[in-house]
Amino acid sequence: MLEALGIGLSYGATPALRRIDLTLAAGSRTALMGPSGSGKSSLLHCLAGILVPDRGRVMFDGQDLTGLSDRERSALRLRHMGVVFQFGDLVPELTLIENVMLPLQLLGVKRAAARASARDLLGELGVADVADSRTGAVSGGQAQRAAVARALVHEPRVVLADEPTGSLDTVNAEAVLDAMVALSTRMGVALVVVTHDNLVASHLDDLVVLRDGMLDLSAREAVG
Amino acid sequence: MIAAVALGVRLAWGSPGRRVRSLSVLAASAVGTSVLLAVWAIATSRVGSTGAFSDQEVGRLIAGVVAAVALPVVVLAATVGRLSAQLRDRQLANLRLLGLSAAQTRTVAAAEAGLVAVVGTALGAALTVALAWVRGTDLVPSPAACAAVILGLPAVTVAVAVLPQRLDLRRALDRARKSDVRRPSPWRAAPLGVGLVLCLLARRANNDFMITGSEVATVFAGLALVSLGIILVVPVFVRLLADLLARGFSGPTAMVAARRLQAQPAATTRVIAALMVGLFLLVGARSVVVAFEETPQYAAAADHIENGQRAAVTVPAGGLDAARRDVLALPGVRDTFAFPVLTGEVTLGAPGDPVERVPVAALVAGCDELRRFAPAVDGCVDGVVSSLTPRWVPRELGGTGAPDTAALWSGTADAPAAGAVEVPISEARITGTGEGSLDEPTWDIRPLWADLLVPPGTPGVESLTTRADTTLVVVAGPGRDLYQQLDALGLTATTREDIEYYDFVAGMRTVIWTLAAVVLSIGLLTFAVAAGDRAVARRRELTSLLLVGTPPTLLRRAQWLEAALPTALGCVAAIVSGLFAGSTYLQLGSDMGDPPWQQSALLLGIAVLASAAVAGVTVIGVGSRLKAEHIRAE
Ligand SMILES: Nc1ncnc2c1ncn2[C@@H]1O[C@H](COP(=O)(O)OP(=O)(O)OP(=O)(O)O)[C@@H](O)[C@H]1O
Ligand SMILES: [Mg+2]
Repeated sequence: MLEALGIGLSYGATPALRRIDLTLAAGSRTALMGPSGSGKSSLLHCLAGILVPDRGRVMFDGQDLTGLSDRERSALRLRHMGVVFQFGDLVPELTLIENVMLPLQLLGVKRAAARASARDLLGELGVADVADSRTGAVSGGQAQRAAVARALVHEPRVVLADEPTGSLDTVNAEAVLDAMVALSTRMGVALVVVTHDNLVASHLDDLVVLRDGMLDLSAREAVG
Repeated sequence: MIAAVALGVRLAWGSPGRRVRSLSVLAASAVGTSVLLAVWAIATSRVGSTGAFSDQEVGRLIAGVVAAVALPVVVLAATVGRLSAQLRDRQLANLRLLGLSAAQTRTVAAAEAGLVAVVGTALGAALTVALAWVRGTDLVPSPAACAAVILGLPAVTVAVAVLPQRLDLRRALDRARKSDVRRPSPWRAAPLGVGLVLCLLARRANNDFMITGSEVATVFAGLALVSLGIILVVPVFVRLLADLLARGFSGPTAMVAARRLQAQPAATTRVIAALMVGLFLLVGARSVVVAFEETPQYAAAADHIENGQRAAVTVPAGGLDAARRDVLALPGVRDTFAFPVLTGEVTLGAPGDPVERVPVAALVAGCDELRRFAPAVDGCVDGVVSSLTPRWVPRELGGTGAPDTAALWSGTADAPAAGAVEVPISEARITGTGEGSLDEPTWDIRPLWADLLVPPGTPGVESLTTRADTTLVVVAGPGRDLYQQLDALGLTATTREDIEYYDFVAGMRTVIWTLAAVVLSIGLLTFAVAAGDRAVARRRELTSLLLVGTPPTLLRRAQWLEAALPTALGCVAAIVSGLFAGSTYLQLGSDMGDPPWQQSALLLGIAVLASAAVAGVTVIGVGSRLKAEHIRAE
């Protein structure tokens, strides 16, 4: 469903990714690991269509992302992808529920229906009680749950998460991750999680390890 | 101390971000300085030199004008000086942590902002003076004005830059934590409401012709409350807009714009308030000038300067041909008309019961001659003496009508120089385009004034006219030098329009429109700066919206809506209240004229379009591509 075909990326003279080939099947659950600076975030940004690789192609359901305009990639991300980053990236001026409603509303769902879906999902994630608070007024864990809800509310094909639990304590991290994995499994959403944490990786089925911008196939086999 | 100053200077130029900030402060001080000095010079030359008012009054007027411009300029300087304030405050706080004292930290901040402001102000002043010199105009600002601006503007910038902002920061934090931003107290709308009600009451009460002291007091109390209320009401107004937007529209654009508006930042609210007060005062002031423009001496002088000059000179019997030749040789003179003018007397009242003997003036001319001179007159009957004056209200309008006869003689003296001639006055009444139900011909035959039109063939009149002085009316193109040219010929105009009065009123009008342009452009510029700065601070929000896949067009639309809505509607509210205040003032007296509807409508249109355009400027960069650095930077 989502494929990287020989992608390479450099920031100026710094090579971040060199010839990465990766295939993610529908409904698969993949952990992306590797030392700091190995290119995990860069790869994730390429898969999400935020960055366009210098070489190679990113294919989504047979469509070449690298050939699309910024606007088309945005539309594709809105429709078929969900993203979660370390600090949630909720819109600070909206309430949690408004943040979760946002993708639905952008896709043309009426406000009342969007609100209902968002509230359901927030309920499942256990943060219905703070749904009407703004992001500044809730804990990091609550905000991160809302971010997970926002990534899943429109039932995308794939959720891309970059250290989604990196700013949380172990207990919270565990809970958020469990919820994310459970929900995406139920919805049949493919999941890619960048993490430094072996515990996190153990919740997922596949493991991809990056080293110096290249796939470390030995590591993959060793764990897988 | 020196180390702190040096650190401040380094900070001002240290990083690319700081350089942009410093350049903004530099540009703002330079622009503010030149605007302030230029308006000061315009006010001095256009209002100060007319001589229509005493030095003291002119001083007050200029002070008012300068204050009106200084306000938006100071707001501009202060807003730019507070750019990226949170970031800077954090950096300055870090200096404190390093061990700098509060005073030292303040010195660092003052040096940083002050140096740049001083350079910018000096640059602006030099530019204005140089430009005025090069163009050779009389609009060179006075040294005193330059000194005041060069010292004052940086002082304000520095003061604002050093202002301790800790309190503000904490409040900002509190605000962010609240799930719903605190609603501004509705009491802020009270002064405006009370002021409007007082004005309405005064308008209701003032249907009669009498103005009582209490009515005047009500109006002025109302006007004062309205102008104060305009400032206070802005947060309530913006909040109301945000709520309406949130309720009325369900789309994500409206939601994002409404939520942002609800969080109304102090900087933009302040700018909108300043803009509104400026426009309100100017539209109000424009109405006050209308009261001046409605006076006859202004209308006559304006006609003189804008449409054509007319002067009447008295030529002694026999000297007419020579005088005419001289006058026609003057540049700009188009035509001359010569009329013998007789003096006389009528008796008003019922026959046999003389109540009053009234002096009259009679123009000796036939109907053709009169029509050639004043094409708009009507009702002239050949061969009879007709009345020209509106003084004698005709019988059909309930007056006593014209007297039956007049005694006429030559010369201007009260008593007849030689025997008076008695002429019958007919019922014929000549009308013109003048005001009032009588359609006075006074305006059409200006600068002459006469009560009667006497045909040259009237018995006994011919003998009088050979001895009488002739009045020569000189008609020239638009301008203001006809009187002086005639003076040089030794011919003195019998009446003169008050051109200085015209200069004063026209000068006031120019100053008001200049101010309106300045207030609008500086106000909107400041708004753009404040909004742009806010957009930079909101990059995180934008990034996160883009991450979801929000189309950039939606973000731009939301930003545009957020900027355009309060400014455009604020301008409309300010101009409409200004007109309301102005018309309330004009209703105080009878015949003070109509408020300047058309010009205000024009200003309103310009303000709305300019707000929309400036809101468009704040959109630049909002919907730009998602950059990976911005995601990482969080
Ligand atoms: N904007 C940038 N400009 C220049 N170099 C960059 C930029 N972003 C990343 N890099 C470099 O690209 C390489 C890969 O970075 P990337 O962020 O993808 O690593 P990462 O595996 O996510 O690291 P971490 O685990 O610390 O988040 C690193 O060498 C990094 O220094
Ligand atoms: Mg990373």
